[in-house]
Amino acid sequence: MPRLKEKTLKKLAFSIAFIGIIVLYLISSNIDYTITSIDKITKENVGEKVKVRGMVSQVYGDNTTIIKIEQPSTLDVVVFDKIDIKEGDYIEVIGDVEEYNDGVEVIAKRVRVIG
Amino acid sequence: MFIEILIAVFLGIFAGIITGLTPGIHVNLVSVLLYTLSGFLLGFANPLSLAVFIIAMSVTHTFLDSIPSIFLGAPDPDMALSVLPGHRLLLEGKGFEAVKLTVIGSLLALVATVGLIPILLPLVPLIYSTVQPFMGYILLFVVVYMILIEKKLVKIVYSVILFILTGVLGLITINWPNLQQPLFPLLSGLFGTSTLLLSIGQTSKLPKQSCSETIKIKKSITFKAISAAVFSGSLTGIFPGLGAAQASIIGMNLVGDIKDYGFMILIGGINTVNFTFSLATLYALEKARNGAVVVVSQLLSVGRIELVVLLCAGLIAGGVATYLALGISKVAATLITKINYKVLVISIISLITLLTLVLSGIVGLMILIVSTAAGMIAPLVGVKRSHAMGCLMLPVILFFML
Repeated sequence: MPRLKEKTLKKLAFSIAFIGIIVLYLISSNIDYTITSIDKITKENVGEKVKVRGMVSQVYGDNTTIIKIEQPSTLDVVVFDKIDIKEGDYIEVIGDVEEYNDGVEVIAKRVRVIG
Repeated sequence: MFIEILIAVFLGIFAGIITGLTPGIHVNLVSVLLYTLSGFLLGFANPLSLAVFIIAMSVTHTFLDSIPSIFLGAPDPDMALSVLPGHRLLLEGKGFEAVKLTVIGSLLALVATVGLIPILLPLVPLIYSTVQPFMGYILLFVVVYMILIEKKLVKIVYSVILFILTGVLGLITINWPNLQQPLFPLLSGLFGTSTLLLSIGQTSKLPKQSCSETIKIKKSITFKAISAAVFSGSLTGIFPGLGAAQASIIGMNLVGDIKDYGFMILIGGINTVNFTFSLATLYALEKARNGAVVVVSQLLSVGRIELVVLLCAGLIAGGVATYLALGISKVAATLITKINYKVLVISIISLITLLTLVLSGIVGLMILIVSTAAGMIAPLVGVKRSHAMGCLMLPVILFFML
């Protein structure tokens, strides 16, 4: 009957923990954000990642969806895809701040309906 | 951020050592406490770090909770069924091996689950909507099958009586108003104190515990046990009301006879999969299936990156907890034989009684006494003790069917 050595188990455990640490390190640069209010997002934040929550006041676009969210200040969110969002949805957006038409908008990496 | 998260992982592991080794303290308790303090903690920690702490604590807990279950006969609700073969192995001088088997189950099942999550994630909503209307019938089928394999009519009748008796006890306990931690006296009595009381009469001294470097186990048994653990463990992560204990029953009956060794791997695996997969369910269905994950869902919304971070925290905790479980159980195996067995058993029963009084009060004590008596029925009439899982199976079956 095959024997499972404790050494083998420990080596496996070490490898798993090591892989976990490496993957965590690699993605940690993508997780550095906190929830921001829209009125705090200015041109100074261009290039930064933000997380914003707000009510959808307008949705339009075909292959690219433009969402206006309100907090009550409004913000344009651009999604380079068709997504299932409607007016009145309360959403959370994570994305990058970009300059647009003398203002700012967020190019979304992730949009989730939370209410 | 990486350093903050890593610190949260190691703090979580430390907390998991305490919850895993202490009977009666569950990760849900600590998670709720953490949430109560979150207003203060969020002043200097990111919500993701708090969530990582909870995950690391919970995964560590699932690796270590077999130790009190096997060495003390004082199980966590999720490890209730492990007392039976675990105690048997302890009495054979293989307590350390029993723990090692659950650790093997936990580690391999953790890796398998994390590896399968990307494939299973899109299927979760489909599985949930397809199977959920039939879940009650599936569980009923499993129960009937378990009873019928007793074969002899007398044993079948005893099994039905035991199932219904413990089922009613479970219904009363779970629905008792204002009763804190109802599962602790219920399951400790059915599977812990009853086992211990019966063993006092049979055993005067624990044999020397072997801490062998190797375990002899067929690869086919390990594979069956891990597959069953991943399958039935993920069901608990998807469906409400289905816990690790019920999943053990399903898993046990899926794979046939895998002997005590295979069963310990299965139990260890289910426990860990139950928790890990509930993170996937939180992401896919936005539903939380256990107390700790409920708290995580309150702290932050789990998107793809958060899911990956939390799974990484689980992997790191699992790797470290393997070393911890093996080390601590070696110490336990050495110490336990130095103590007079009867004194040890009486001390453990006293500890369980005291914890019951502290956690659940006088009502809890009554439940402990009744469930201890009920827990003795199976070995005395010669049927499988797992029928006493009616305490959790019957309420869950009724939940799905009514």
